[in-house]
Amino acid sequence: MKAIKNFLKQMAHNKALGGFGAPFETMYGILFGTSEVTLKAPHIRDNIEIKRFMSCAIIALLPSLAASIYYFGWHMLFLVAVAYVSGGIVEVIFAIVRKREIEEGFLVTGMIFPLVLPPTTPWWVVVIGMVFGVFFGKEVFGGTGRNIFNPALVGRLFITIAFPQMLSSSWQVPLSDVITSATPLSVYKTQGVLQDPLMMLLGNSQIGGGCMGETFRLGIILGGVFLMILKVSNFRTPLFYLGTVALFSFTANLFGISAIAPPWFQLLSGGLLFGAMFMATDPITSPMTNPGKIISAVVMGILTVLIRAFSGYNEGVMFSIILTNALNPIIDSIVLAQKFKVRSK
Amino acid sequence: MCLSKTKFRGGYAFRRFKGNPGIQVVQHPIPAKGLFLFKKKDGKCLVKIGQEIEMGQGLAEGKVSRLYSSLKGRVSEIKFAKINCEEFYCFYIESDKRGSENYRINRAKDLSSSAIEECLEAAHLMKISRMKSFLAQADSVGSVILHHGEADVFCLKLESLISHIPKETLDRGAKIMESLFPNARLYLAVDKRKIRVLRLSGQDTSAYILKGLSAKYPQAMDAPLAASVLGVKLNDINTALDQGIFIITLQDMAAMVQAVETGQYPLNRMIALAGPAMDNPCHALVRIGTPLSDIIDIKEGVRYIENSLLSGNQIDPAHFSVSLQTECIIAVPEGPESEFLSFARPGLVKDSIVPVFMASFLPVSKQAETNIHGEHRACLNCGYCSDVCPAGILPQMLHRYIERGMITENLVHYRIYDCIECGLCSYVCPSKIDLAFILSKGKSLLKEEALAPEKILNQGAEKQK
Ligand code: SF4
Ligand code: SF4
Repeated sequence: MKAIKNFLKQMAHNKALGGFGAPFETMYGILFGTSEVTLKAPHIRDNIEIKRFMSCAIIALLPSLAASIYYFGWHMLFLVAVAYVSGGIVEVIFAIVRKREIEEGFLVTGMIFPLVLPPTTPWWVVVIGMVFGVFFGKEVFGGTGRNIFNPALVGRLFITIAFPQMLSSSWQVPLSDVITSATPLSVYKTQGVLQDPLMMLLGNSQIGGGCMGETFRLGIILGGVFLMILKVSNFRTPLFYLGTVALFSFTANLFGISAIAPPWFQLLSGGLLFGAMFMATDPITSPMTNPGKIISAVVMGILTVLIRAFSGYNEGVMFSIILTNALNPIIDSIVLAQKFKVRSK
Repeated sequence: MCLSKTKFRGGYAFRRFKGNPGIQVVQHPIPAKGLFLFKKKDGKCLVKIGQEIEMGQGLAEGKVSRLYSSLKGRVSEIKFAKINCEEFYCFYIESDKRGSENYRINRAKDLSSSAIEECLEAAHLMKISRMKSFLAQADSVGSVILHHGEADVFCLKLESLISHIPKETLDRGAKIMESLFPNARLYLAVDKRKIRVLRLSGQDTSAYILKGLSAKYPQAMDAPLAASVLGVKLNDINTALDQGIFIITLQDMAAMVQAVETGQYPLNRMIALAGPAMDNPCHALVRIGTPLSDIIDIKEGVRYIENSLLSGNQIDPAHFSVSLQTECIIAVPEGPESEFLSFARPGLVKDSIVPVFMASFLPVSKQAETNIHGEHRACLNCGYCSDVCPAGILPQMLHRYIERGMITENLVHYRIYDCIECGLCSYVCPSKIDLAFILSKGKSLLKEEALAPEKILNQGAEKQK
């Protein structure tokens, strides 16, 4: 053990390696933590750190992962591995080039990304999407902490546009090999038929189940609540996002707009729960202030319902999150202007 | 005594840390060799080596304050030492180990404000809470807040302190305050968990309006105190002095009452000895000027800190003695060295703002140590720092501006001068960014660029016109 420790330490601080020390440093960090101490006040520091933070997010995703393996087979695990490797390579290359640490964020991105794909997605599409997402969603902005868009969503959006056929009409029925173009949302849109709520909660549908991680909604709720209790995700975002969707569709139903599905169906269909619990809550792409988070969640909710009902797409979650990501700087600046108004004395 | 509980925004409740002192009080003997420190910068030495000195005699003098000896004896050595980048005089006094029988008595003649002032001046107590500046504008002082905060990780306990303060001290303190600041309302603010202790002690009195402070650090710093007790906002531009709020701790008030009534200098001070690396955490009554090595065994691999783990200074064990400012001496282990798979451990003794460790769910004592517990990463925008910030500003945003070299009016607009340097933001950051330090660096850069607060505010006011 000691030998490994010394080896990694040496490699990490070896000047001759230049940026190539970064992976060793990361390994050292994962295995042995840090021995750095504070230099001045505050003399003690909280025990929370990014690795623990990200591990919690990954644990919260496990029920969804397990369900997707159960419904669609071990293939799913392979896709996650592919996403990790391809995302990891991009991350490491950039860490070396920039001579910076490897950020753990890609571990969550690499887990989320395959979960928002249809079960039939071939592995090379996962590679393309992941590389594109990490590269254009994150690194071009200057790396973790500076990105405006959620990298997993950028990748997903890209392959939706690049391979439309593959990603919007071939859905696998859970626990079988049947491929259909019907999902609860599309069935509602074309025929106005609602599915059984319990089936939607558990995900064992007779028609296309949607993306891999979306099907087992009970698990998503569990994972999402787990994150909110741990305060790893801010409860305001999912609460107001889902609340807005429910309220908006309820009101629309009162006025008899039948293109908009009833609230419970909105909440239990498509990627809404998954998106609200795991993607809209991504802290980096959320507004800075709590009021800003609420505003942006409300905007997402309204957009989701509108896109679902009135656009060519059946699903609106991904688009509304990405659109709102782009609006967040504006939302932030409005909130900040209010918060830091120059008060007249 | 009517009671109201108060609130301030942000803050953090440090609960159950290993090494908290019990309430028993140990009396320490008068030291054989005392140590007194005084800033060398614009300070003047008043004694020579070998000189015999009396209790209460001046050792050094600066523009605003004076150092006096709380020991009778002989000056054996005068040295210089550098502590936290500042030069200090060190006076070593060999004491005759005698008690307090030969004080010079100079009690106040009566309770008129001039007599009290004279007495405090003679007792060198004017520097307590910047008394002098407040007395210069005594009529505009509208409130006096007497307080005892107990929300730091380790701190002096009210139980111990109050058991060693003579009966009716608070009452008599109130009379003194009324005489010094005729227009002031008096407030007594203690942690809301300690109201009962105050009541049981028999010290409570109707002379004060009693306030229970919400049990979060930094309840006892000026700005949160003023905000929670009076609803007044303080910052670097608008200080307690500007607002006419005189803030004083319980122990300082007791010293003042003692000086006025008996003419005795405050010779002893109650301090808490705390921290996981302290052998016997307790309270101690020690003579001012007692060197650290007389109070505790100094160990290797331990960091000693004065008063607060969050905002206090590290102690140089060779050059430290108990002074009028000391309330608590904290010993925490340096390190520890890295732990195998530390991020994946259950964390039975780990404190955190978020309940991700077992310690949040179990009734266990948590460990304080100087390891930073994680690697430096980019800001995640998790918002923990702005959630705990008692000033209600956004440290993560200000940090971003400062790190990118954008030292502009924007920083002032986003109220960087509201930061009270409590250190909580640095404490909670999962990316281990030292926000409090970066913000204070930002403030000094701003001042260098002559973007001092007054100037910018004036500019802003002009623009609005
Ligand atoms: S606590 Fe640290 S990581 Fe979180 S928002 Fe503040 S600076 Fe960023
Ligand atoms: S140090 Fe300043 S910015 Fe940080 S929490 Fe304290 S008051 Fe807020």
